[in-house]
Amino acid sequence: MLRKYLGVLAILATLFIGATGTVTPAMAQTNGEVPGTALGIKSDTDLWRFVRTGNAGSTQMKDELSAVMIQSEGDNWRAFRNGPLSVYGAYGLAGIIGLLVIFYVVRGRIRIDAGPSEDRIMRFGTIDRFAHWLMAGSFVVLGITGLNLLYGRYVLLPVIGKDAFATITTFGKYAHNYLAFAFMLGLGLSFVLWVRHNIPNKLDLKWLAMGGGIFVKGAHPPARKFNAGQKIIFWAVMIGGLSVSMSGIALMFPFQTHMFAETFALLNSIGFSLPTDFTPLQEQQMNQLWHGVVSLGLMTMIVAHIYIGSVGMEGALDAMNSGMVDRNWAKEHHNLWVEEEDQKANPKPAE
Amino acid sequence: MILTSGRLVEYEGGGDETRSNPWLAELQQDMFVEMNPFDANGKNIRNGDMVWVKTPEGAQIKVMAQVTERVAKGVAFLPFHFGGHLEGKDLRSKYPEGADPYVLGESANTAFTYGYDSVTLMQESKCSLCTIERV
Amino acid sequence: MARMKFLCDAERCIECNACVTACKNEHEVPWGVNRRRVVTIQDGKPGERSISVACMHCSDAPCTAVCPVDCFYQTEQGVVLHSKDLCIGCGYCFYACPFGAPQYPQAGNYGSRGKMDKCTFCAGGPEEDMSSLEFQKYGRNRLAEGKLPICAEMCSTKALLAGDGDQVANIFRERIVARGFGSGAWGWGTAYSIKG
Repeated sequence: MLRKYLGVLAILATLFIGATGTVTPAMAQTNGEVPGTALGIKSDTDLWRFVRTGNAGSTQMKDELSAVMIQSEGDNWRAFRNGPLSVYGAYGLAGIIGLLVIFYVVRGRIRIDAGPSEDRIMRFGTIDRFAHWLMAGSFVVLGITGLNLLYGRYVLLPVIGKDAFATITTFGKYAHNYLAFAFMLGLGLSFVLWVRHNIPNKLDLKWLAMGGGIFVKGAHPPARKFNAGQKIIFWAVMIGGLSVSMSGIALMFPFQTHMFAETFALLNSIGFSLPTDFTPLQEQQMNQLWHGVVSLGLMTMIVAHIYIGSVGMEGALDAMNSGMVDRNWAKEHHNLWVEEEDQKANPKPAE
Repeated sequence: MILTSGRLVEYEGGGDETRSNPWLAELQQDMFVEMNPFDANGKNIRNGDMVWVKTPEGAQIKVMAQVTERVAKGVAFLPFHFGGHLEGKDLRSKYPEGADPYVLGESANTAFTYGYDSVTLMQESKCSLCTIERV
Repeated sequence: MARMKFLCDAERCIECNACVTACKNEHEVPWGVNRRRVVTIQDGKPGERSISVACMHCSDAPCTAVCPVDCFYQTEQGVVLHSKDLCIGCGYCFYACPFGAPQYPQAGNYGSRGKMDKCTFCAGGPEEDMSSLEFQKYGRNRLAEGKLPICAEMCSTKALLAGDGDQVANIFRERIVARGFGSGAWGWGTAYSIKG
């Protein structure tokens, strides 16, 4: 027992003596300068540069983001959101509306050249129309509530006052978050239903070469179920819709995703050299901007889509309304599709 | 390794009062052992890992490792303000209803070796020995 | 009119978290919401520095610029405050703030963060000064009582200064002139054998 105690004492003694040797007594010989070893650094600039560039220290708080003293990307985010995003978004939306007004004034409503017929042909069944309206209806509400978050403060708030605006925007935020899922469901359903009709082919080049026939009265380029213009819209909505959905989910579950890091890593593997180390906050900031960019782009396109599907073209709205379209309209705008449908209905006996 | 104990800013004494204070408890939610990076690397311990601190008395406590250069090589530091865990087991259910502090942790003094001052019988809780290994 | 500012002297801050605890206690801030926090750089190594960080009440506040419902306002004394009634909990102010000052009661599961909370410079909010409703929502209004923020009052080393920006700057300037580079603590010269 005593030996054990002495042994411990001996070990502790040697350690203690040995320990003093490691503490450098060089401080006394610094001639009035601050001892470098005590403060660690003679100049603080490195330390402050470390802080200023958004690096993390340590903190007693459990939240990982708390350890960052200063983050400067927030200012860039603010500048972009309140600057180019807001400005060009507004230009885009105002621009497309202006263009459509001009188009309507110059070209007028695209009529059915042969005049409306009495026959109808079924274009979109119940599930097609359900998928479309689920997607489209939620998109309209999502778009309006989204625009409210970006512009409402400047456009609507001065009109109805802060309290009413805050109440409306709160409801708008909930509507936006809940209808997002309806939109995603509609998007997925539409994709499954229509992807096979939207594969590009050589016919689309011909259709595009003729400008879709919208500029010249009487011009009707050939098209199957969906023409090239519709295919462009389809793929834009699918890709854009997927992108806006993913960034939207990242915004709904903040600081839990790293999609930008993963996307940039993927791009890096094909030759780009983009940064991939983002803090969760930087990811959120980028997600918000991307969400805004894609949604404004989609809205700009969809405004034109809504125009052509309603006011812009006689007979077009029937397709999504009742699903039964005027036969003459179908023959003029989707002649090959009409032939295919007729063939299915009355198959010619094999020779 | 040498084991020593000491105070934290957030807590006081045995800790039952201060660990029951929500403002203070939030600032220090885990019992920990400070160890030098050299020792931590040698034992494959990273900052935040749970480790067993075992002492010659046969005691073992399960605490979080804080890897820092604050302690010298071969030295480990335990704060002594925690209580409510025993050898890795959480004893929160043993507290009377509503009396359990917000934060519980291993009690450091249960690990210290049985040395005491021969005159005052004061426990020797500032120098002891231990081994630390990952859970 | 005095423009209120914070200044945390990194040379003096000892990471005692007294400012954090004082703020928490004075305003009964719930668990998880950190109006003020101390961030330490090079923890455990020579050259360790700590700074107490909270809302800096910016002159051109990014939070004010990005709020979709314009719930922020600045008092005559330069204190940036906001209305919890108008706040929709979108989180944009946190994205914009360089100091991470805005805090939310919920982690944000399913985009519902709750009303934003942040340092008020102990100046309450839009509710009536020193009313119980103001205390419930925003914490104590010390400025209305003629006092200064509790965090700076409680600072054990007077590292954290709060008050009229001009006066705070003067105090800090005097310190720099007196101590030069290195801690102004008494005994530095004796301890390291440096004259003066």
